[in-house]
Amino acid sequence: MLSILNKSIKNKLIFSTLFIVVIATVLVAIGIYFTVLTDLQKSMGQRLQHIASTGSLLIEGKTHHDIYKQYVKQVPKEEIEKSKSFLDVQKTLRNIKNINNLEQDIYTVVLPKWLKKDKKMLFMAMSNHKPYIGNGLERSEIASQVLNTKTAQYSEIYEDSEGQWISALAPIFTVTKKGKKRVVALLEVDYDVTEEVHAVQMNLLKKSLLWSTVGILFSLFIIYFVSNALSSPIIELTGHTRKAIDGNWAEDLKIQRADEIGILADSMRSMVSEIVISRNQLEDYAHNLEQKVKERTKELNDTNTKLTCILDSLGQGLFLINSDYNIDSLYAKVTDSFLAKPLNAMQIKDFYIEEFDIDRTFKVLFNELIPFEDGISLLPTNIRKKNDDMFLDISYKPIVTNDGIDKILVIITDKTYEVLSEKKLKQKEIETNRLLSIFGSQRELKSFIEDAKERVLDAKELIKKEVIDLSLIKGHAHTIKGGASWFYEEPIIQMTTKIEDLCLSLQANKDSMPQDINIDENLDNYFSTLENNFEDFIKFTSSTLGYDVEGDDIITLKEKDLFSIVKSFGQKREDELFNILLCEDAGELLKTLNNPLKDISKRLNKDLNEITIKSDGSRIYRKLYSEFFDVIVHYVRNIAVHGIEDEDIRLKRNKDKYCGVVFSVKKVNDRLFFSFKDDGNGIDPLVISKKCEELGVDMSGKTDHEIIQGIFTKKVSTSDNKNEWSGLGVGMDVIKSTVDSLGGSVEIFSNFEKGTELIVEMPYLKYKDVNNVTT
Amino acid sequence: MLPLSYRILLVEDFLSLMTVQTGILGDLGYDKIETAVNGIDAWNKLEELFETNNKIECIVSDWNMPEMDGFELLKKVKADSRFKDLPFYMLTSETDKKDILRAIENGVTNYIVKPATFEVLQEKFKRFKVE
Repeated sequence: MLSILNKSIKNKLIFSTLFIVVIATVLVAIGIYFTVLTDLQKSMGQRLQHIASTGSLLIEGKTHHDIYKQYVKQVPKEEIEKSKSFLDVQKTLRNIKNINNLEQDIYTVVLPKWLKKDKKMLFMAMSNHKPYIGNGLERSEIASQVLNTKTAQYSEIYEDSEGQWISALAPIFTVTKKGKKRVVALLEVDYDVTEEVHAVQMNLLKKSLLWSTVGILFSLFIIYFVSNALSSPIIELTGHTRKAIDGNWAEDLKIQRADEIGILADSMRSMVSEIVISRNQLEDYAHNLEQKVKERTKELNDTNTKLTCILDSLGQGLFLINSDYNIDSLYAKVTDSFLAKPLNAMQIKDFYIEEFDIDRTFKVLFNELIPFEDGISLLPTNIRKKNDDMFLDISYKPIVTNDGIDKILVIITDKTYEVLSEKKLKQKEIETNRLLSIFGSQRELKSFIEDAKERVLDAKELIKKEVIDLSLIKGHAHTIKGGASWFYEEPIIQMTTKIEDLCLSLQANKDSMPQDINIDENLDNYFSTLENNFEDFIKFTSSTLGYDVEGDDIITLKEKDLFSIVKSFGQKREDELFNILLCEDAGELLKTLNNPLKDISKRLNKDLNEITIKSDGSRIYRKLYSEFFDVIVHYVRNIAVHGIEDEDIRLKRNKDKYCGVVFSVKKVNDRLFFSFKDDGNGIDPLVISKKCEELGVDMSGKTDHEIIQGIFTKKVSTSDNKNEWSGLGVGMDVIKSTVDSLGGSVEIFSNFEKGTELIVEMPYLKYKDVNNVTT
Repeated sequence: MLPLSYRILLVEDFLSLMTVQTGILGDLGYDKIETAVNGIDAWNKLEELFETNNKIECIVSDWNMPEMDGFELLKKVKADSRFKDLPFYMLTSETDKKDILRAIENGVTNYIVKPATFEVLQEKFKRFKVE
């Protein structure tokens, strides 16, 4: 039943309506029952009341009181019952009963004051044939009312063990001497209404059944229409929802109404369409996800395959460093073949030879405090190899998870073969270079041999002396070594290095040197060997060049010939050969500026420190830069004329007495940088600014640095006193335009009273540029 | 990649090197470059430009400089809430790894062992991640 109730709204409607109909019918029936019962009670009660009140008048109060008086005097009951007054009363009672066709006996009662306490009445007489006097009846409510009102009353229907009753009571009076009525007893008439009540009940039951059947049928009829009107759209909605839940989204909901159900249907429709959209998106996403997972799985499989391949390869050692900075126990066993001892017997600090701060370095790597690729350069490069002939390459790869770097993969690759091949190649290159040096620097070769021979002789003389000047001998060896390096003459380089080392250790251990070691002999032997090396070198170079390098004059090759040598070696090495044969150290070219500077300074009585030349060894072909060197000499002159202050001014400015001048050259990424720096007077931006404005140039809002660039403007000169050495018509503007034409730029940095630096930047020109120039 | 729009403060005491570096930065495509000759000069530039539209967005500093060196500048920059997130590249001739570690631990974005050639700077800037 409950399950049915739970299932359908229609059923619920039917059952609740039926319930209401039944309850209503029952309530109506009960109402009617009580109305009928009240009617019965009233008609029967009034009749009984009438009988009682008329009957009571027939009984003489005095006679009745006489019975009572006998009873009070405790006359035996049998005697009272035989007394005339008792018999009179009994006879009257019987007459009343008979006249009124009463079925039940009627009787009189008294309510003596002394009996009030236990609320009992006293039976006096009865219409039956058996006399009765004495205690018995409960005093009823109605009896009290009759006593109080002194009029007849009837009761409501009441029930006792014998049936249902209605009673009526009426007072029996005596008249006092004063003529006042006094109630001496009550006459009671009872009527058994059990049958009548039963008949009413049966009648009502029959009618109620009929009514409820009609009611139920009628309500079923109503319910059918109401519930159809109400529940069918709900049922449709429910069905639709159920279908939607089962995945049938396509079906359209057809309910079109203006009431709550219509609103519900609308909501349902929009909800379903939203769900359909979301579901489609979800399906798409799931589909893509699946695809992605497939792809990623494939990637992972590929990676795993790759890793397995790598692990299987014999050439590479592989192991992992864990995030606790320890070596992972799982590694490619081939790794052990590269290392001094098995990896599983090593800790990270044993793997490397150099000591380093393991924790701090790996923290940088694992936490990527700087990019991983840069971080690995903090790791030592020397590891404990199995043997020294092996050349190993170590590379590091991060193993990255979502949380960052989880492990570091260390890959050890045997590069011995590659390195040896490279070495051989290098050796060949050195041979070529050696020949080229000999060819290209014959003048230097000649002077080197002369100088070296002299130095060897001098050293041999020094060794013979009592006190040996070790530092002088070492100096000779060092100078010879320098020259030999230029010609890649390995035996001489090695021997001179030995001599240098010996001198150094002798100097360092002067006091602790054992007496039995013969220093002279050792050194003498070394120099004799060196002499032999020189003989070999001279023979080799003479045969290479085709003339006696010691005796004959140099056969100088013309530039044209040198160019043809460059060409003959092919395009691959043309730049290199050009560099060796035709270029010279740019520093050497800067040195040519020394003389004009010194010369003018001297004439102006301005003192200079030694001019410092700094070069990174970049070699340039002079002719390509000849225009530049032609004009830069004017700037150098300017340094002397304008830049260097008089001695007293320099001292006042807390400067060194002599002016310091530094010329430097450096090559950076195919650009050549020349710097001409002095710690002289500097340039006064006010003067430049004034001059520029005189020439009509707007200088407002410019910084000092921007202002002094004005020096490159035509007709701006820093000195008002033109003299014979400067102001020759070639100014800074010419330097700028010359450099510009070479594809370069100039910039001047200056602090007034502190110094000036001119920076010239130009392209680094190569062999092809010569071709461009000549063609 | 370090965005090309960044305004870079180049701190270098050697004017000739500064010219070279400015040139290289220019070749790399960075055309907003401010310069300073030491740490103090750099700090003043940082503060001076902070209130303007020409705010410094990256620092490339030499380590060894007179008056205030690159490391002191780094510490000062990292201690200041206005500048602590600026990318800071340290140019160093130091190959001593302990010093480099010290710089990294103090928050440099990367270090550059001199000479800082076009290729080296390109490589280091390429690895910069904009957060």
